[in-house]
Amino acid sequence: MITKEVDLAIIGAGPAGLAAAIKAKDAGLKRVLVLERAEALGGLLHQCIHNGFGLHYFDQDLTGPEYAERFIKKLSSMNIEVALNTMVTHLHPDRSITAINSDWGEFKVLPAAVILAMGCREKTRFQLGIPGSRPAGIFTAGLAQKLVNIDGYLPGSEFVILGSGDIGMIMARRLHLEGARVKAVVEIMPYVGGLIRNEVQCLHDFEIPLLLEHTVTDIYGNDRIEGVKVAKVANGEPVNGSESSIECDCLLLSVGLIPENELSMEAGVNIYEGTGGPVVDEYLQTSVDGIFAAGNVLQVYDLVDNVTLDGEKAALSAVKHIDNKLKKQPSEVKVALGKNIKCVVPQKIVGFEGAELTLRVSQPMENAELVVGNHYKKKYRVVTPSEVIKIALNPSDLSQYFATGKLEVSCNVREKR
Amino acid sequence: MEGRVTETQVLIIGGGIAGTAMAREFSKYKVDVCLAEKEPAAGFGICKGSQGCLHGGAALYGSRLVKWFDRKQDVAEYIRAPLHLKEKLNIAGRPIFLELEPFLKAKIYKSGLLFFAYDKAEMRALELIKEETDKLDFKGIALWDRDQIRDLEPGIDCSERIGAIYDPEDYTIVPTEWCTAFAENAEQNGAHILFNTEVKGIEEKNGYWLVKTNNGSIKAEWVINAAGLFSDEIAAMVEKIDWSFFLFEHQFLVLENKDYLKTMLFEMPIPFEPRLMIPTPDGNILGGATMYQHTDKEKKDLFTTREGLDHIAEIPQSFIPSVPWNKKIIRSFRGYLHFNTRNPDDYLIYWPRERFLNIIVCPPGLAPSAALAQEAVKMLGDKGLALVGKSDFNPYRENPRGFIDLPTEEKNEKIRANPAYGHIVCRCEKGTEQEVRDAVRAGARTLDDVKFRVRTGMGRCQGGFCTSRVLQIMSEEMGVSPLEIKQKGGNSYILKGETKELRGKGKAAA
Repeated sequence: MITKEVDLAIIGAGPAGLAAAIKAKDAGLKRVLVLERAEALGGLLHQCIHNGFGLHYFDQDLTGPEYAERFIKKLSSMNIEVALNTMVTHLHPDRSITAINSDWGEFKVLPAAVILAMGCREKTRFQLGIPGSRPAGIFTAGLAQKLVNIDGYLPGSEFVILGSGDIGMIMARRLHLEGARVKAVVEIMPYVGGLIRNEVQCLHDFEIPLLLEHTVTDIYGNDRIEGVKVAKVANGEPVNGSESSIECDCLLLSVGLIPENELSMEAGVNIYEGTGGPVVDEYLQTSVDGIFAAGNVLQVYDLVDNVTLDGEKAALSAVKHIDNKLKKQPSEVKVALGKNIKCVVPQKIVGFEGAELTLRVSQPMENAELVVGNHYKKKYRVVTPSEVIKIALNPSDLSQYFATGKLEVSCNVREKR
Repeated sequence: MEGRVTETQVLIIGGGIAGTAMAREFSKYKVDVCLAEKEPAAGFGICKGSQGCLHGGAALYGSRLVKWFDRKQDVAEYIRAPLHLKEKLNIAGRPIFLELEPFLKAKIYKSGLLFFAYDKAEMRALELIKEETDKLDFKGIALWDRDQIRDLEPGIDCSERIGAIYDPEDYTIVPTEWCTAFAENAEQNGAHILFNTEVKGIEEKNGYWLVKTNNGSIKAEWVINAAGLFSDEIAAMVEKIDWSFFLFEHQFLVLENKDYLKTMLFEMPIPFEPRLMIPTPDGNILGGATMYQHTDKEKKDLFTTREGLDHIAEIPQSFIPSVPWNKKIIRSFRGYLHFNTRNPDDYLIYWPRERFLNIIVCPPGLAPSAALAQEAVKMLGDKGLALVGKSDFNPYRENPRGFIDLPTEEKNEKIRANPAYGHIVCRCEKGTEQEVRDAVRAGARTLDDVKFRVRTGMGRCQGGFCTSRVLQIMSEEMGVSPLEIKQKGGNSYILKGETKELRGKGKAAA
């Protein structure tokens, strides 16, 4: 069996993995190995042919493939080893990796540090518990996006889309432009799951019906899907008697993303309930020494730009870890969820260098005020759970919290004066 | 197609576990045997939705307690009743599966069984079961207290469960895998297996049966009706039948099993509320089930219901409270248990006409099938079919799947010889490109058939990653466009067309 000793192994070559590899190499690491299960670098960016990528990172409006291309070109010009069509089958608590590909067979990787960059997967109808028949013609939105944009096939002609995550709304527009009929985008919450800009640009601009506070309660058709039942929702439950049928030959699901942490858990990495991703400190180091996490495997981000920044941060931390320069304070600060906060990353702060918090609120709010501990307040006209909020904390701000070991974050509606 | 006539000595109608096991049994002899199955693959009727158990003594006798629901009658009356034919066949058939495993290379998982009791009356029932199974020479069955239960399965909530009967000899299989194994091995030995072939009518001719299907006619000297849930319809083609089926539906959750559970768990049957957890050979758990009664008019309905899913969602938690089961749900499905009104407690096996044999089964259907197959061959032999053994019968069947479970050296040997083994196309279950190719070469024609052979699409992402890859490989192997590939039978095409096809048409249609 081939054994590869490397400084840094990165699992996944989507935006997080690419950024991490480049940054680590830039910072002087010699042996960086990227393991990617798909046939190309870039992850799901290739199927995201719409624009809106890079507004923050490049200050330009790029498509997914254009965004990926910039990193792929850079990476290819550096001496970074890449293994494509390579499935990592095991990640062990000692950080060693077992993987399989056609060139090396089943092989082992012994890295000084690992960056988890596996991204996320889409929730299915079974995880939502939607009853009904199990015909052909039910797809997650991301799979439909691949079938349409990469493979060149239409998975249906008359669609209902359950869930208004970003991929769902983008697919609604994409399918509409393909000449398919999108009969409804059905969302259980009173607001869309994805970005407001996607609600406007993908649904309203094309007059695609959006049914808020509705859900799919039944699926029918035996061979191929023939339709769904849609009901109004109150207090999280379908309202009796409010059901109506919509005929369709395809149902897409955009009902949430799950950070893909099966490998992380095998290595013993602790998982944080709030995000479904690993528990990390501000260096993005997980509970297992030398294993870092970046991008959607850590938390499902709104913008790819944030994923890239995560990858870079994890890479710099991994380099420090390898150089034994990751210094920790004798005690740590737990970041606690206060009022109206759904999740926060990192969940603990351990070092001397300050930290950046990313968090999501638990419901949309107007005239909101974000409160961090007792030293920081910021006003927002609108906050929604679909958008990540970032807050930088410098070392001097943090010192007081190391004394108590706790830092609480909350969000409140501002009192009118 | 219409005009095609296939001639055979023995025609088996139905490619479930009974039919395929029979086809293999007949293929040991110099007999022309043909099997007609309406679905595109073996075991894709009622078997596909079955619980997949090869039961031992404790479960066989335990199942009898369904009748003890009001707890008023003397339980001994049920436990001490003589064995039914189906139970005798189960006892004879199960060891045959164990013997066949290395030949057919289909998986068997030794789950063992824990069957719980909540009070003294239920413990007494379990004691009686132990007495009876001891008489029949079942090995290792024991009555356990809470500590013994916890030693084996530490997660089990024993606050109200006071004890259990433990049977180390209970097994689970994947029924479709065994049906495929039987059918393929039968075919290797000369049997003629016809999928997508639905029997539409049967005519009695002078000395033979003319069986009309959607796929041509079959001229057969002997016909065996092993059509499972649809055997009533086949039986009614040759006589006016005075029996029908009554059905119980079961809805199950398919759960991820990360070492949460080793052992099959049964609860004392409360009527219409069975509670069971069944670890499968492939690393899942079936958790359920509902038991709603239906008429046979509804037997094609396989949809799950809100009521059913809500009911079964509670069950895994009631056994093992520490696992967040709602996050471990991979899939849900519905299957049927069917019983005939003439002989509700047992199989119904009879000759309605000369050279036409009805084999009407009921649960348990899997374990008995291997013995039933031998019995069916004998029955035809007794009625005059010449049975001359083949000297060249090949009992071995290759199973191309299971690459990921091989030791490293064997994996690497295979990858060196064939790099497509190194290309894993299924992220959850780790199926390889080569296994998908082999599945198609072995006869898989639908996405579901590949799924049940290679497990692509069986995992937690439900095909999110592998579907487009498997479609591509299937399309290469079958030499057709992905547009031609179906999920299962009928009109179940996966894709509707190529991009740009609908442009400009949308408005016209709207």
